[in-house]
Amino acid sequence: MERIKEIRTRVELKEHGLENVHSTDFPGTYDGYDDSWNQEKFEKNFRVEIKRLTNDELEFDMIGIDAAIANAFRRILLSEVPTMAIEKVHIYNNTSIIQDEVLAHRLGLIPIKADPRLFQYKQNTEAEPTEEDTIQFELKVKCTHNPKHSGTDPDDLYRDHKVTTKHMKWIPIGNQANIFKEGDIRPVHDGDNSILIAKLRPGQELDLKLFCVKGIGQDHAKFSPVATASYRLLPEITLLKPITGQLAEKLQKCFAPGVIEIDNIDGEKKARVANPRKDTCSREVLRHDDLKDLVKLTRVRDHFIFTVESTGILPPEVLVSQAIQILMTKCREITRELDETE
Amino acid sequence: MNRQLRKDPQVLFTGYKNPHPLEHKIVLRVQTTPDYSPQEALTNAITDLISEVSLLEERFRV
Repeated sequence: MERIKEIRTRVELKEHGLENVHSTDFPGTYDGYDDSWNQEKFEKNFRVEIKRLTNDELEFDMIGIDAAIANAFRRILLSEVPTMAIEKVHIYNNTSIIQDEVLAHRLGLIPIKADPRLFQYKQNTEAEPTEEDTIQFELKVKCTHNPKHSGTDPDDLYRDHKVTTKHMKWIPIGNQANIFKEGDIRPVHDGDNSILIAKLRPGQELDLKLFCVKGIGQDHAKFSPVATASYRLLPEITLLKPITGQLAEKLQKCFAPGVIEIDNIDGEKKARVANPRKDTCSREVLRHDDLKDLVKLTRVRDHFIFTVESTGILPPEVLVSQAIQILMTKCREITRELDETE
Repeated sequence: MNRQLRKDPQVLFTGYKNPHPLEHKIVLRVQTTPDYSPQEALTNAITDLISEVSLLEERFRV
């Protein structure tokens, strides 16, 4: 019975591979277990714990959910939560050494800080831009000599020789100037951490108009709202027998710092699993013959540690709730379609 | 979706396939016990999934 419970809930890390990788908690797999889904049971077992939340990073635990759902969220975050990105560039003048198409591609990848929820998708790519579906920027830079130049440093010799996101100027379309404040719409990185777009020399100039539209990561990675969105299973280390003395120190060295702590009990060193979250799931410990039968490495199958790192366009907690909304909409869509066909 | 269907004790078999990766089309096969139709199974599975996701949303907000 103990063994079955373990097979159901843990992924085991063995010396030469993994065991019990797949979920098997479906009705009919095991005798004596009720695996059918019901709301009450799910509500009892399901937990969300937010571990860390900063302006652009979020780490939270989702416990009591299947890998299929966790993965659905990851995929939606990567490719289905919309953002605004530069889609069209009108090049009036480009005498720099960077080619038009390369420049346009570089511009496309710049994260634009604008709330995508306030915009609509552009239905027809050829249509005139409107205030509901497009944000316009202007990039007009001309590099000149600095008459008071001295030395060999290009920063002293030339003016405006580095074109960065700082030079991008928002041009409101229609009523946009009344709806949005200055600073609502801008590149995410402007000011001191602005992104270098191109380098110029005296006489070279750029004169561009940039058009941002709403899109999703499925269409092009530039629309992806996250830098990373990933999950891992909670590692679990079980010491099968007390590990003491020299062996305890050896055990500690097999894991990342902070995973194993050594307590001093009556002058004897004794190993203790302190923080399995920090474990990198390296199987180093299994390479030592004197240790490998004393520990068991497993991961909790339904405990997902999610990390979402935003590009800075939307805060990470908003991204996750948007992802939830999107999955909901999809479910409703299927229900509607089903009702229609029946 | 497939997983949710598998959670239903009256579903005998369920599986999905993507006949061609370039086509956005998924074929879902559901087989149920005689007193229960696959349509019902599918509708129930989606309703359950919706409640699962809405609980998730609710818990995430806190």
